[in-house]
Parts: sequence; structure tokens; C-alpha cells
Amino acid sequence: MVHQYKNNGYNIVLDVCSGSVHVVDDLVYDVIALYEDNTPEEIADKLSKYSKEDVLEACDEIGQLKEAGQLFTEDVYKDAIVDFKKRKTVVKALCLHIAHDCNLACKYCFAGEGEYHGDRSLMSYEVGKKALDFLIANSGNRVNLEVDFFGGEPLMNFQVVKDLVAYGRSQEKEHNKKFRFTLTTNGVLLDDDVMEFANKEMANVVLSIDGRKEVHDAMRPTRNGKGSYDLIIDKFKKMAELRNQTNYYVRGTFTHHNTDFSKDVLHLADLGFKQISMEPVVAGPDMDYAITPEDVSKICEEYDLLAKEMVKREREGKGFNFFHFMIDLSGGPCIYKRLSGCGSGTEYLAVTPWGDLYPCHQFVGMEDFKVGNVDEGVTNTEVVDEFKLCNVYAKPKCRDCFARFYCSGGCAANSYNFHGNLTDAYEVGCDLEKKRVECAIMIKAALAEGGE
Amino acid sequence: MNMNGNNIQECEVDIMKHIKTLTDKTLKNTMEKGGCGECQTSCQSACKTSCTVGNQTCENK
Repeated sequence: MVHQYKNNGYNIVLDVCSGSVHVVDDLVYDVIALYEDNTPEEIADKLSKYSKEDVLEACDEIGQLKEAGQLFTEDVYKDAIVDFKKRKTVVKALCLHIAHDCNLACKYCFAGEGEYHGDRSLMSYEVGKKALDFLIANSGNRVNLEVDFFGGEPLMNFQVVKDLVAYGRSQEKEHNKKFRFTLTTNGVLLDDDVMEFANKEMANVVLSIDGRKEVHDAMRPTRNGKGSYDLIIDKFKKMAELRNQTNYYVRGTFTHHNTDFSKDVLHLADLGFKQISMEPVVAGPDMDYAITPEDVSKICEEYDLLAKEMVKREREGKGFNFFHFMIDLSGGPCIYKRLSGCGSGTEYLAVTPWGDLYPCHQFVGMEDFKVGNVDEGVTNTEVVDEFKLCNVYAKPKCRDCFARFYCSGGCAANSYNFHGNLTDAYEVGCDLEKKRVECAIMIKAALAEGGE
Repeated sequence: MNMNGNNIQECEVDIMKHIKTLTDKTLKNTMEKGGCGECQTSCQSACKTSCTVGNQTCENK
């Protein structure tokens, strides 16, 4: 399967099943579209604007790539996924809901202002310790274990965060494990002590900010209704600098109300942030801020604008990293990872403050999806098996999609929330993901070409 | 290094007149040695509401 598209003046050809990417001239671009169903002579007849000699030359180059397994390759992975899924999976990442409470009242919070539609609650050290023990015991021979301190707002329970990090470190040597702790925070309680601790212990820190002050304040008010931008911005700048502008993200959410979100990304870049993530809100159609199918074309234009601007800034030595345009064409994940996706429900579990286990943070609070708890481990194997079988070939909408090896079938929670099952796909999310993959590859093409 | 932390020199040299290949690495080659599972879980980085596996880095050293 070949996906060909034009973006920012580049003719790009992605050979989906090999992952090979080619930048081609107009001639080859037109010939490739006809190559599989026509002889070279027939193509020359159909493309009379080119000389026959040129068309035959193009066919020859295309043929060489096909021969080398870099064009028109077949999908040979379907059988591999069967074997892969038979293998015993291990747990290697936990999202610890260290606090089901929050000092902000963000309007789009899928956790219902941090409480996950339940009571406010903080995780105790004992529950957290059991969670880490569970992770160690169920991680097989995996060395790298990931633990994200999430919420609500985890800094509302900071002492437990510190104590759990200390406990995790104390277990590493004995069990031959390496914990990668991460922290996701809204910044309200960020102070010098937290920064010092986080910069020593956290492999990554996610700092929540939506971009421009008016955009941020409209969606991320405090509990008394005031904007929170001024409370956090200087602290985030300081934090980013202390981390040498690496191993962190300022991460925002854009909504129907700011589909011109490239301005928010560039606002953050102009403030000096180098690691930026900005995601479309996920919300049901009954919410006024939900992304609508009609927003998709505007959002895609924004991705194009952003991609072009990033190329320009990179060439000027002022580049920054945008999470959703990251793509590693030569050293990316193996096919098994690409087929099996994010690992929710199998490799990745969320832990509530009272120790219940869920397939991921977005399923927390949905009783049917509870898979166990930190005392007994995973007991609901039926749900886990359902997630285990979640892969791109189990999803009819993904089978013929060119982006299937980049998003790996998309987010299970999105599928469930919009369609009531795990093997569907959230169409708006798909459209945006496809656009992001196209932009990401275009950026690679532009930068490989050098400055202009 | 470029903005995404990848080495631009990974890209292949243009040897054809009409086609420039950015990467000739094929996913098929990862079938043999892949699946170790040491790589990062995608939702632990900076998304939390979408799936972005393609930007992960292989940690099979």
C-alpha cells in the first residue's frame, strides 16, 4: 500500500508496509499513481504531458524501489500479531492517581475536576507501595518500569510522591529494575522544593498550560473562577530552564473555542519553551467546547501552518519540538509495538487512590473496566484479554489506513467513549492523526533538503 | 540533530534522478529482533488522550 500526498511543495510517497519514505518529482508522483495497474507504455499514453522517455525512466526508478522492498510492499504482519498476542504480557507502566482532587476546575477535565466522578481522595503511601510492588512482581524481565504521578493534581499529595520515589529507588538494585518516574502537574503548587526534587528524580515532567493567557484562563480557572495563567507561567519557565529545556513538556489542550491553536503553540515557543505538546480535547458532542467534524478542516490547516513555521524556525536556529510531529523514520518502534498500540489494559494500568486497577487513566471510574486491585492483582482477565486482542487488525477502520503503523489503532478510550466498543475508531481523532503524520514526514523532507 | 532529536544524517543519499529516499529502513526487518518491550509506554509521555506510538524510540540496544 502506498500513500502519496503533496504538502508544502513536497511530493511525498509513503510505502505504508515497509515504512519507507520517498520525496519525488511531479513525474514520478503521477507515475506512481498508475504504476500498479498499468504497463509503462499505458502510463506513457495516459501521461501525455511527459515524454515517453521520461515516463519509462520514472518507471525504471520505481521498479528498482519495488525490487528493493521499499515501494508497493505487502502487509506481511497479520500472522505475526497472532503469535505476538499469544505471548504472555507483562505490566511495565503504571499511572498512579496520587490525588483524586484538584486545585483547578478545568472545564474539559475528563476526571470531572479531578475527582473522576467519585469522592475526593488521596492515595496513601501504603497503597502506592503495594502498587510499586505489584509492578515489580508483574514486570517479568523488563528492566525499565514507568510510573507516572497523575491526578487530579499530584502535588496535592506531594509527600506521598516523594516517599514512593524513595521506596521505588530502594527496590531497583535488588530486583534489577530501573524506575522512570514522571509527573504531570498544573503548576499551582510548584515551588523550589518541588522543582529540585522533580529535577533530581523525574525522567519527564508534564506541565499543563493551554497557550495564550486568554485561552488558558477561559478553560483552566481556579476553584474560585479566576484564571490560572499568571499563577503558573513564571514557574513553568523556570522549570523548563532548570531542566535545560529537555525532558519535559508544556502540554495543552485545544478545543472548539481555539481551533487557531497554532497561535497557542507559537505563544509557548515565543516564551522560550522548547518541548511543546498540544492536543485536541476529547469530549462528547453535547459539550460546547467539543471538536466537531466541521472543525477538522480548519484544524488541519492549522497543523500545516504550524509545520511550515517549525521548518522556518528550525532553519533560523530557533527550532522547537512539537510532540505530535515527532516521528523517527529510521529508529522508531518495532512492528510489534506498532501493531499492539499503547499497551493500555496489558502493559499499562492506572491505579486509583484506593488501589483499584483500570486499563488506563481514561477508564478510571467505569466499574465494568475495573481489572483488579493492588492486593489481589489482575483478577478480571476477561477485560484484560479484550485489551490484549486490541490491535490494528482487530479494527475494521484501521486495516486499510495508511497511518495504522503510526497511531497503532488509536486510543481505546476514545473508541469506547464514542462508539461503545474497543475496536472502533474515533473518526475526528483519526482525521487529525493522519494530518499530523503527513506534516511530520513533510518536516523531515524539508529539513533533509537543507536550508533554502 | 534536528528539532525532533533525530539525526538528519540517517537519511539516504539521493542516488536517483527523480526520487530521493528519506528512509530505506523497512519495518519488516524489525520482525526478527523486535518485541522486547523495553520502550516507553506512549501515554506516559505527553499525550494522555491520544495514541502516538510512531514517535516512540526503539530501546532495543
